[in-house]
Amino acid sequence: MDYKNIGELIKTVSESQVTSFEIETEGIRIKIEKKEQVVVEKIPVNVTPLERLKDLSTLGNIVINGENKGQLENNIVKTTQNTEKVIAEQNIFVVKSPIVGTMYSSPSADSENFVKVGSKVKIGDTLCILEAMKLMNEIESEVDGEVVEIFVLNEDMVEYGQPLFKIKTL
Amino acid sequence: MFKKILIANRGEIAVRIIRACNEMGIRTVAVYSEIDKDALHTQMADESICIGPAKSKDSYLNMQNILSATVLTGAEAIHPGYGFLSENSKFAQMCEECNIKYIGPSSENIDNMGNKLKAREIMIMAGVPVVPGSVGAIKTEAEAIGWAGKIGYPVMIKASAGGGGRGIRVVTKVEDLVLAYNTARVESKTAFGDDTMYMEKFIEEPRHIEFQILADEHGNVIHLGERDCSVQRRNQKVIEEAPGPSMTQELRKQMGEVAVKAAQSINYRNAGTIEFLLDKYEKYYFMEMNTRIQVEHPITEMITGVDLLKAQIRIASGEELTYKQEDIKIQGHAIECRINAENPSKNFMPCPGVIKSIHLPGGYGVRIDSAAYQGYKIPHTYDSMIGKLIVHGKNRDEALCKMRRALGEFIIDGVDTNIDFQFKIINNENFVKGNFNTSFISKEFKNL
Repeated sequence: MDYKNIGELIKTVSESQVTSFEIETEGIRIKIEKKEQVVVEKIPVNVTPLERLKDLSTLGNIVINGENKGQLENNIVKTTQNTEKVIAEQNIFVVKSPIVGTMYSSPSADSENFVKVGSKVKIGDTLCILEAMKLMNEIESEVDGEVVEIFVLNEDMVEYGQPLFKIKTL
Repeated sequence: MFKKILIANRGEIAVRIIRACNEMGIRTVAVYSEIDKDALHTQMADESICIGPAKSKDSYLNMQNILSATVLTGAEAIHPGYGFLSENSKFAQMCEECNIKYIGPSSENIDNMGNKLKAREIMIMAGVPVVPGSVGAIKTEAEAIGWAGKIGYPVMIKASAGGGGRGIRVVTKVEDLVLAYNTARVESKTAFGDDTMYMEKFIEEPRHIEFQILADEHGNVIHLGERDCSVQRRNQKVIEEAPGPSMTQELRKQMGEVAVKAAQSINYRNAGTIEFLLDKYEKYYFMEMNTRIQVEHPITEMITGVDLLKAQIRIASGEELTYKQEDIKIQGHAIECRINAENPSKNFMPCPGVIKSIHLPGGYGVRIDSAAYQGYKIPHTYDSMIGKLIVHGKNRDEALCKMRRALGEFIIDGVDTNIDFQFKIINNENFVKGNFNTSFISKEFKNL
């Protein structure tokens, strides 16, 4: 089981109604408990290197190999030790919603999304549309950089101050 | 009946509305500004939406965000509470246009009564006694002098768009009139963007007596008796009681009928309050109408047994009033003390901060309407009210005893409060005798 599968597994469990989940396979034991700890343990039989953990949508503590690795904030791991490659906190700009409304990731139903993870943006580029009371508001980027994370899905309802995009500035 | 209601307010009134909804099985949506993230109303509601930063104008007065939140959460109705958007006819109209039920009167009702000059004219047409005054707006200094002469000094120059005691000047002699007229005009223009002025006879040392109205959407209108709110400091109410200590059965019947007539004359809907000035000769005059639920509504609930918030929701959902006028009986006596985070010895300076510990009074006949809790940080961006302490006894003496006892049990640490000041008022000789009018606090507590 590689890093991608682990990430997907964690996401699937956290998005479901399941509150407690445990699996043991291929030298890895994973135990997930909602609102408490995400525990990823290595069994000393096979050594499978763990890479970065990201996109965990459960809030709580992350315990890796028995060590508490820190708090989850805005779905991003802020680790107290730097043993894994984690996204650096410098040069990060979080775009927050200025209104209550519905988020649209593309200009119309059948067109391409304005941006996706990895898109390069300049100041003034449209990131998404927020619709409120039948008025479409284009949300423009205030920085030059690369979109590293998108926190909301197309047609999600957003509230004031809710994080929408994470942009790594150049 | 509504399945989901959004509460466009905060603090104790938001909690009050949520409680009424809970009891009726209606789901609730709270809206909050960023600084109110841990507020009680945000925690109590079934859903909560952040609608803006701390400043009122960007959050609790943000009509777009509030309407969006309503539409997106599927709430069918909005309760505006008091203050904020509760007397904003444009907001009521926007709700009507978005097919959201506004739990209150129509935007037209709000418009008519919000314009004080218009409200006066409407009441005169309906045969409701009003304070003797000018007819129409006063456009020149000469007109001001003329009217003052006709009415007789002392007179009060008032702004038609006014509120909160602004744009008002009392004039006792003709020499002061022109200056007062001009400064009031400027103040009104600055505060309300409108300098339409009129004039009334200044009623000296009146009692402030208000009548609670309920009107359904089928033409039924009743009153639920009066409240005496004369104990005020700088036009802000401090203590309210029901029934009024100076009222007689006969006067209540008369004024109540006039209040109902006033509401009927404008096809008023839902809850409202007609305010009168009662002078020392027992002559009463219409002052203004408040087209919303009021802070002091609990004392009326205690003496009549009618849950006013539930009544508002039922009326808005189209139900007929279940009470006729003859069903409304006044039982016992209720008093309310407003408990604020302020320091009376420092000119009532507001004292926001963290409530380190709080012990609420209890026992038979004691009611607390509050959004405070231990550890709560009172924000500096809104009013300083911590809560309302209400008591109900079988007569005024018992109510006074209970209030004395309850104030003594009320302990709040971490912020200054006016609890001791309230205690002084409750024990004041003239207050106990029921001997007071709107000049009470400024006369009896000169040093504060």
